[in-house]
Amino acid sequence: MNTKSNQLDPRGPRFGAAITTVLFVVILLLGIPTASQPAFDAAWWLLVIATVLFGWGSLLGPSRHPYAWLYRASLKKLLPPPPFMEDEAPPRFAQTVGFVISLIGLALHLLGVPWGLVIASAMAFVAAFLNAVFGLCLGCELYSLRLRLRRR
Amino acid sequence: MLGRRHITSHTEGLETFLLTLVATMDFLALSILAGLVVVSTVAGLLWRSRQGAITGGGEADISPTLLAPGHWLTLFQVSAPLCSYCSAMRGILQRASTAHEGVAHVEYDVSEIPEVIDKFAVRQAPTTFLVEADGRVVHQIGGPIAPTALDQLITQAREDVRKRSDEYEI
Repeated sequence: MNTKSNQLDPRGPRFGAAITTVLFVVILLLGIPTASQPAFDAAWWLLVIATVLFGWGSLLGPSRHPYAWLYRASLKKLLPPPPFMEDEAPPRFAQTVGFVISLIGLALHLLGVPWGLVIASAMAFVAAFLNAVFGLCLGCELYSLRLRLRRR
Repeated sequence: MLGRRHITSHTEGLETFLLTLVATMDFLALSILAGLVVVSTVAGLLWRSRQGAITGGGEADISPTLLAPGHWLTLFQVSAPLCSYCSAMRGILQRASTAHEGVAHVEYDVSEIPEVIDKFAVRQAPTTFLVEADGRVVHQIGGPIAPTALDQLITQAREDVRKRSDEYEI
């Protein structure tokens, strides 16, 4: 192992997760009242934006993401240097998981499945919340879980 | 007055947006959101309490061929490809191995050491073992641990080794 991937300030992805958490709070608050009749409403368009942002992080990596630019321009200047650096791979994988989940939400919504958008958004919200508040990368845990199951 | 009107017109878009948001908020949405926050907080606290959990070594050993030769204690790190805190732990263990005499740090990927993973039921990365030269596991640490706590464990392990060798001499 030890693929020499990009090293990141681990607080960067957490800062991004905090913005994602707020975004999904808004999506859920707007989406739940209209969950039974899927339409091209504000919740839909905000989930489209969230999906694009996840896709961006997944394709180009979390260090070339708008949230990373925002972090470097704001909070990073106020914080002391990070005590350790983090590999880029785990947060990037987490972005991919987020992308797939929100894409499923969009697909279910397009198919007219009631509550599809809300359920996918709820999953993304939980993952972003855990990352922002506790520093727990749920996508990364999923990966190691898959690794364990495959070995059985 | 003029200044105030100026600001109002600027923030009108945001205001309308927030007002729409508040107007469309209903009891169901708020309770679902509150439920999600509670569930994730409980999950997060549970996860956090498991981080850095130290368990004493059991009867099982790690094969000395996997350890660093010529050291009385090996800090045996198990890492995974997508592990957020493995590089942090690597730094902590490397610093500890230079600070304490006769202590070495080795790192393995989960896929390289299936027998250790099975024997000790390793379920998270990073997991760190404190192993004596003969392969005896003194401690198993799940998740990252603070440098000071690690220093204490190493000092305590050295005391134990010294005590045992004293008994042997008597």
